[in-house]
Amino acid sequence: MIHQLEEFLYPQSLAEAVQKKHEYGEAAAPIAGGTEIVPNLPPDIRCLIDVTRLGLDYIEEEAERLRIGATTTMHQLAVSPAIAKLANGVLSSSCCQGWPTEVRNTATLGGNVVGAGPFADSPPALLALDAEVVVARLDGEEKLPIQEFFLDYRRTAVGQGILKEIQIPRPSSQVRGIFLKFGRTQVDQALVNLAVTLELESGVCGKVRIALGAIGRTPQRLLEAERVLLEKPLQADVIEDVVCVVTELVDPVIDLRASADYRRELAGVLTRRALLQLAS
Amino acid sequence: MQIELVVDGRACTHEVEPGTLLSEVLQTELAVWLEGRMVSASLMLAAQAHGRQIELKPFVQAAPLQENSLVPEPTRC
Repeated sequence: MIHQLEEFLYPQSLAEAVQKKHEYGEAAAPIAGGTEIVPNLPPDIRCLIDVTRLGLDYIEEEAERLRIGATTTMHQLAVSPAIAKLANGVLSSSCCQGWPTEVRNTATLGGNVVGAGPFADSPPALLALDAEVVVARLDGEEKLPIQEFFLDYRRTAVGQGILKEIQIPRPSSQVRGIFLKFGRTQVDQALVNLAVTLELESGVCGKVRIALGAIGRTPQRLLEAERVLLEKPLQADVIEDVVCVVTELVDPVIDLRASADYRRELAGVLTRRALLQLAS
Repeated sequence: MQIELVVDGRACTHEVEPGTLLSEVLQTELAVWLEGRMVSASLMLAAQAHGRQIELKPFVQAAPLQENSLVPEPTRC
């Protein structure tokens, strides 16, 4: 029993949900699967707004992008052929590593993103895919790049709005991707997770994205490391240069699971492993 | 608040608090399937299940091999 909750609302439309969020302000939060918010309910929340009955569980393919509704579950994403086609299934991998079946069936992409836990698995993949988030607000919809969405530890730019969907621009067929996660056990949260996408043309790296999670207070792209790879061949000496930059750049958090030094080492190991796999 | 559930085909009504967990309402050691998918009733509020179909099944039935096959081998350093 969670005693602090006083109300549970079932809005009939997204507009009504946004209206209720606006009325209740910081005392209300949307709930979808609940696997993030039920065990970690912020102390000031008195009201939950059910967003699972608003038709936001969809994966829609358009010519230029994929649109994923905020309440699409991790299971739906993990088994979706459309998601599997995106950069070698980088997002699919992030949705099925380390999730017990019961959680994967309920947890939603929106919850994983809005929860903004630094250890969440989908945000690095979404960063590597240049995703954009669409937030429904009282005065209409706002679309912003996902790297501008994560503000700080468990704090996002969603504000008084409600996350409606995530859009992923369709990568070219040259883009390869990989998601790697290292945890203490298969179902534990990540000590470090990493997503990389890169465009390879004639063996030379074009557009590069390297995103790390469980390292800082928010998931982050490593722009300096990305620049090292740009217009270079994906070969051993270049990969080692990237690994050096990654281990120098990161400023890892410390918690009961791992020290900063261990996480820094892991970030380098996962980067090397990811790039070698993409090169093969 | 009042919620309506259909548990193993039988419709029932429960008076719950907004913060009541689904596991507190069902009080079962069986696996809980909501709308055809196994869920964790201790991570879900009863209010979330309002109007939904629930099935209770033994755990051995609830973990088919094809579900497990989605989880790749863990990465090792």
